[in-house]
Amino acid sequence: MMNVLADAKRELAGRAGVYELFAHLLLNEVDSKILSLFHDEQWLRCWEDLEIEIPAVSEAGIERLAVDYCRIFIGPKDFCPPYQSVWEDGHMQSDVITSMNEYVEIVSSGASQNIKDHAGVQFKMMSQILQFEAASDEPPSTLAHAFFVDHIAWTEPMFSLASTLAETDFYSTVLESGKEFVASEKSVFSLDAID
Amino acid sequence: MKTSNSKRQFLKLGLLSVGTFGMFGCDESTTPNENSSSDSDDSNSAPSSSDTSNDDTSNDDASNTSTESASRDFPFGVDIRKWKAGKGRAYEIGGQRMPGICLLPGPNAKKDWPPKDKYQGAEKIPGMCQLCSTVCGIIGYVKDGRVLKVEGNPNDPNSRGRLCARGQASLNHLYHPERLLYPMKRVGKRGEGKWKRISWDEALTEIADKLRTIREEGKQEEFAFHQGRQRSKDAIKRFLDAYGTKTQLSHRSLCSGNRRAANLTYLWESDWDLNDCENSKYILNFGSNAFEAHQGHVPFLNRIQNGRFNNGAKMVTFDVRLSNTAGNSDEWFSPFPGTDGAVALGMCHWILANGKQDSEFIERWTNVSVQELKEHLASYTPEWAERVSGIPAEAIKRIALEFAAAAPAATTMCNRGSSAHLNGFYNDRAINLLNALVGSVGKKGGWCWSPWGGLDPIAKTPAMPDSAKTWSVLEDPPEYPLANVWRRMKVGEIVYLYLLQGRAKLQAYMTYNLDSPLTWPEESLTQEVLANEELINFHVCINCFYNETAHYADIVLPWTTFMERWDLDARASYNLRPYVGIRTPMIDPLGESKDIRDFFPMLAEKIGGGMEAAYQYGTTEDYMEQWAKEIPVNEVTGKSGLERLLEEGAWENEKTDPFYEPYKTLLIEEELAGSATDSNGVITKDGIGIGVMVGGQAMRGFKTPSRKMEVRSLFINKIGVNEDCSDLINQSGVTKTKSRPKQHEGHDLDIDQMPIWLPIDEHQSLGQDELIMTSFKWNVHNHGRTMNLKWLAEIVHSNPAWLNTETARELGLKDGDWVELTSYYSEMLEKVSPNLNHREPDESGRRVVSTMRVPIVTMQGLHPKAIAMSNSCGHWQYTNVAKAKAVSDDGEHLVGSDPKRYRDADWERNMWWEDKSNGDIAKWQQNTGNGWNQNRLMPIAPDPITGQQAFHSTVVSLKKLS
Repeated sequence: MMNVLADAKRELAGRAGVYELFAHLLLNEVDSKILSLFHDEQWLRCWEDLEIEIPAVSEAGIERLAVDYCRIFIGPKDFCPPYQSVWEDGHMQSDVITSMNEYVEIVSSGASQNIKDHAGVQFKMMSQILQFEAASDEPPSTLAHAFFVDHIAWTEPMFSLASTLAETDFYSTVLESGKEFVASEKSVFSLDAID
Repeated sequence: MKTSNSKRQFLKLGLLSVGTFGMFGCDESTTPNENSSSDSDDSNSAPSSSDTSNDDTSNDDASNTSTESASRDFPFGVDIRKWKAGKGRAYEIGGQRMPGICLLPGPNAKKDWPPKDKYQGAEKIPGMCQLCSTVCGIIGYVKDGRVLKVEGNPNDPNSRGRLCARGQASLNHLYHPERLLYPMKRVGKRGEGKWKRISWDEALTEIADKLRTIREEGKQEEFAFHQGRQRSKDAIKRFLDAYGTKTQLSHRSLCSGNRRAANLTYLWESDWDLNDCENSKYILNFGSNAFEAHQGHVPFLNRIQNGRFNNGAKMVTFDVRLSNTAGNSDEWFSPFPGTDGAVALGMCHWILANGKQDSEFIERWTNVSVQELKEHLASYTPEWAERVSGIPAEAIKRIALEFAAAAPAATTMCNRGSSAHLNGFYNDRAINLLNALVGSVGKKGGWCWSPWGGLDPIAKTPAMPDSAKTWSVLEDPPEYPLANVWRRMKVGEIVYLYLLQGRAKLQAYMTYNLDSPLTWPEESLTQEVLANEELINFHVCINCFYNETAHYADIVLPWTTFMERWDLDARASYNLRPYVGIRTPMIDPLGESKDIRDFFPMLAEKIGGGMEAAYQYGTTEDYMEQWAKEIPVNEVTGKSGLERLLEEGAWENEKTDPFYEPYKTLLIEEELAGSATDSNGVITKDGIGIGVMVGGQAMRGFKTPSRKMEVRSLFINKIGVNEDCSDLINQSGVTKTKSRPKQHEGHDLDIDQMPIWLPIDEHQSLGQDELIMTSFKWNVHNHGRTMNLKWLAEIVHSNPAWLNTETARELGLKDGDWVELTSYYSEMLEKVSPNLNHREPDESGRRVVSTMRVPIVTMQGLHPKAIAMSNSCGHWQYTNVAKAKAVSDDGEHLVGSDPKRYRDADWERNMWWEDKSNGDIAKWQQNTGNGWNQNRLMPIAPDPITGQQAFHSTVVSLKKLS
């Protein structure tokens, strides 16, 4: 029984970590520190398992990734807006923000990004929720489930689009894996039929 | 991706990641925790509850804590008690909505009507629109940090609560999915469209380094600031003066240079006539489309209609095209393009011939006599005007007498229709003369003006730095004598040409709310220069959207919208007295967008060298408080200054009398003490004009050299040939006026002292296949900044050429046919302005500007020798809405509009106008696509006197396409 519980906690922590990783990648360009970290042996093994190739740490490589990140998520045109409002209503700051405001009352992300329905912010909040649950002695609440339904599930097609826009192998495969991850999370929350 | 294993693989990755990228409460860009990445034991174990020190039973007031304190007080920032105590519990039992779930409309849930509590609890925040030049007062309904709706502010004395479609579309502007939200730096070649995001600090440091170098070289004039529509005059001037450059370029000459100059010749104290239509009995409109555009637009339109329907005014419009203004007039006449002035002079002649002039006004208050006018106008008979304009002499005579009979409650109005011609200055001089003849000048219901072109002078900006002293040929081209003598109207359309010709050099170029490739003449030349790093070494673009100018920038700075920034603002009010309006941040700026008021001080600090001294006023809000501090108290609310403006949105001093007949104001003894009066009755004090003796009384008069309304302008004649005009300037009292600088020497031009009419050479011998192109604006667009707004783009998105039905028949054309238009440079300008010639003639000896293929629509509402195309269309950047693309260029996706990927119900239902012809004109469907940039055909064609771009004088030939 203890082992089962420990495994469950460990799984929650692991999932929280993936959300944290994607939150960072959605909100930020990859810099040399992050890229160096990704070249750490343990990290490389994980990337290899996921068939994601990590580019070498070089100024040109970092620049290429920055340009790719920009054209995927920043623009200035034909980009993939990482904002839930845009995906659901076609413009920024839709009623999605009202819902996010209510969640922010419960989960304080502390993100500097001021657009609350940015996928990165939402992933960060989800990470916090799961870390909280991993650390809690109480039975899991409905919070993670509800937040996933309201503010994470929408990202699956966003990752898909972002992946197709990517010109670097790194972003192409990482973002594809983001899609896979959200799909797997749907299974966790028994939401396979969410579409 | 090995899907079967992915969950386990993700867990491994997640256990490495958890805690690595910054815990809650830290910026997500914080340096990763190296320990967590290397400590595999830690990463393989779940965080223990002891790591999270807070006892979740310890804080009974948790639900009241702020977000910030929550991040400190709750493990991982999660206040689970609040969840469970409130919505969470209800959710578990399925009793009430969860956050967001029911509020998300989405296409499937979308109803025709918003929830009835949508505006409940919304805060009403005043502001001022900036989607055209009129700056109407608005109110934003703000709830949950979002603007839900925008409507007109009834407290705005000029717009009176009215708001046009553009203003209603403010939400499209604010919440556009393709807004620029982060600073970006060009990667690769300029114009290649490759960018990377940079921080504000990086951006400002790079810009500062460049500007500092130029400044230290003492070449400040090689930094140009080029503005499109701007309403933060003080902020721009502060920065440029502190820096030390006077190379501030504008688009005024593309807009209203001739009209302003014509008004200034008569008045000197104002360049903007405010026709008192609300109190008028007769409105004579020469080419103004006030019902759709015009600087006064909604405020003006409101008063015109009040004059017509409440005061019985008649409105007659002369316009080449049956605009919505013309169509709503009592009578419409279509003169030959560029002949408005001839019609006006014909009317003047007839009024005098019939003795219907106001002789008393002419003799007392103008600087000409009735007899002089009769002699001057002798040859401008209505029959002559008919030959020139095509308007029947009998109609000219009838309307002239109707106009005179209605005086003094009679006024002309005009704008670009008459003034944007190569003879536009004289056209507008002639039109204005009608008011002098019938004595309606400054009269209630007549042709009025006010000295307050902007804010009530009670609002004084905090101390400004001294003005810059540099000179640049780009800002003050010597070929255009009236461009900059009274006001800096400049000659914006020559900027890129002069750079190409090597007449000036720009080390740094900062563009601001400018879309010159689309709105400037000669689109291809503009692009060529903007792309050339030799000609423009460094280009910083400040804008809300990625437009055709941003495409050629080196750094793009995301600008706040007018709902996210501060200004005090006002226009010349049709109430004929000044007011103060306020533009406020209704919400926090989205993303990392910033206003110049916020980043210019940072930039000045980085440039250093004393520039920072210009920004010692504190925060932007401190600055606004100082600026607004003299706004008096509202006796009812007890609020004054900024606080009052923030509540009411605008303030007008109702104790100020409307500016009627200011020239009749008697000078008081104190004013006259120590004054002298010359033989012409001009009263001066210390050599500066203060008034005039009229009928034995000392009066204020007009602020002209003669202190009379100057029908005859000796000043313009002398200025034209570079004579010193100091004496005349001093007599006027408008001492900010300057004689032309030494750099203008050798650039003489003969400017007639009297209102005349000049034929345009190439219009006199048009070939059968040649027409004169005219352009126009729609009531839902401005020139270059609204086609990205989908509510507006749906209404107007394309601009086939208008052609008169009879002309089309003669040319063998019918509705929907395609033509190839070829445009030509002006033959008249080739002789008068050789500085413009930059293309070799073709084999026929003519200089071709460009060719363009467009479809036509035929109608009777256009002069047979004209062809009309609206502007605003033909964007090739500026969001996919402006490009009318349902599928992006790469065929994959489209921000906010692709029904397969985004859930934009508006777009799914309504984006029906995408052009699917793929360039095959045989397959093109009417009213599809995003139209054509008419300015591609327009030559750079400044009126030789003022520099006003002659948008309506270009000759084009037509060739039918099969």
